[in-house]
Amino acid sequence: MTASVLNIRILSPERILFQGPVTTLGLPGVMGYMTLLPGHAEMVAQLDAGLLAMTVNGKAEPSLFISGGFVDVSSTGVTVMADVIENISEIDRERVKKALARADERLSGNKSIELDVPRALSAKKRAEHRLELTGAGKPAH
Amino acid sequence: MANLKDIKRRIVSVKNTQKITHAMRLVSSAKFARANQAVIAARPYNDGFERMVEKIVTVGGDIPTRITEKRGQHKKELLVLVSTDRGLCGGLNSGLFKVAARFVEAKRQAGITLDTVAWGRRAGMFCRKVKWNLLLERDKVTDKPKYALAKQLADQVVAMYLDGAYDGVQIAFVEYKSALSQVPSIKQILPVLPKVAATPADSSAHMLIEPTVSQIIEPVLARLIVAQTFRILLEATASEHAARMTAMDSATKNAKEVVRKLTLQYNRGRQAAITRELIEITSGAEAV
Repeated sequence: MTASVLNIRILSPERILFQGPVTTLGLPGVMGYMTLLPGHAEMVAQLDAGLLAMTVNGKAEPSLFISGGFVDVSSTGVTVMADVIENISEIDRERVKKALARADERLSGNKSIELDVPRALSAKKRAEHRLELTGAGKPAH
Repeated sequence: MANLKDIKRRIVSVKNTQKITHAMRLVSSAKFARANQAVIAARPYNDGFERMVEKIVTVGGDIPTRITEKRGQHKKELLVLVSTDRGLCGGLNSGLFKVAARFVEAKRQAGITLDTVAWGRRAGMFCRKVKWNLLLERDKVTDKPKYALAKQLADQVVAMYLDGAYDGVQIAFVEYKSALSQVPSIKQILPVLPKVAATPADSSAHMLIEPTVSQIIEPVLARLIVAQTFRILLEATASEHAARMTAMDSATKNAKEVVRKLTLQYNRGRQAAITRELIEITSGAEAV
């Protein structure tokens, strides 16, 4: 395959968030962050909560938050599918901070009897990535 | 000949009803447009997801999971009925319940009993009326359904399936074909029967799966169930509004017809009264 662009679609169950050609696509795979380039081998991968980064002709597009899902790379294009996908403007920083505080409290409080550790950890991770995204949204200089 | 005043009153009353049905039609058509949009918007994800599952299953082969294994020992299944909360939508719910009743009867003859879960008030009412074993009832599922709701409902059903002694879970809902056609149908959602491509593409033979097929298959299929549930909710919603739109449209037309007939009757009555009075006057004059 000699394609010079990746044709990607970013889909949530409720809408299409992005559709079009990009030059690179960064994804939070469960086995580590990966960057897909044009001509990538066919693949299906599970994605973790994190940030999705795209570049078009060397220029970075705004990143998106994804809550974890899957990516399907085929010869015709790349499809990213996740339960929740948000761009910066959709994230409520205050709410996320509260969610993060709640997750931290759960994880640090030893007294609670029934603690769903994986759930609290993933909540924490989601909150952190959301904050990272909104942080990056501020002007850098 | 009916009293003219009575006829007049009936005309006014029918006209008022017509105003209501007309307004309901307008509301439904606005809601329908939105529901239709939601069905269309959900399609790419659904299709994409199904294609991906097909690829994984084709490459990975038959991997036993708790949600794909066939059970047959319990002789008991779970039926989820998705209905509207309110009536005035033509034969939408009754058509669905008829299909569901036939299904339950067929299962019963095969020696399988069914427990039911109602999503929608009408379904709950129906289950109680026919005395089916109703385990759970939820309303407002067809009120602008969100993915989060589908996830919640699907997780609940999956949990019931995994804990409980069921051989399968079926969902009865009204499938949305178009604005003019909605078809009651029953779909099996558990155990999951993933499609396998008949002829795997050459390239998929060396397809990468990350982390591994056996690790990815359960979360993928769990999400497939949610996606299917979401689609069912969206379709049921679109069907509801389409059916209500049609029902209210024909009610409005019918009211118009009734008003036309009553007006005719009223005018005839009035003419007859005038004629009678004239006859009385002329015959009175002749008598003088």
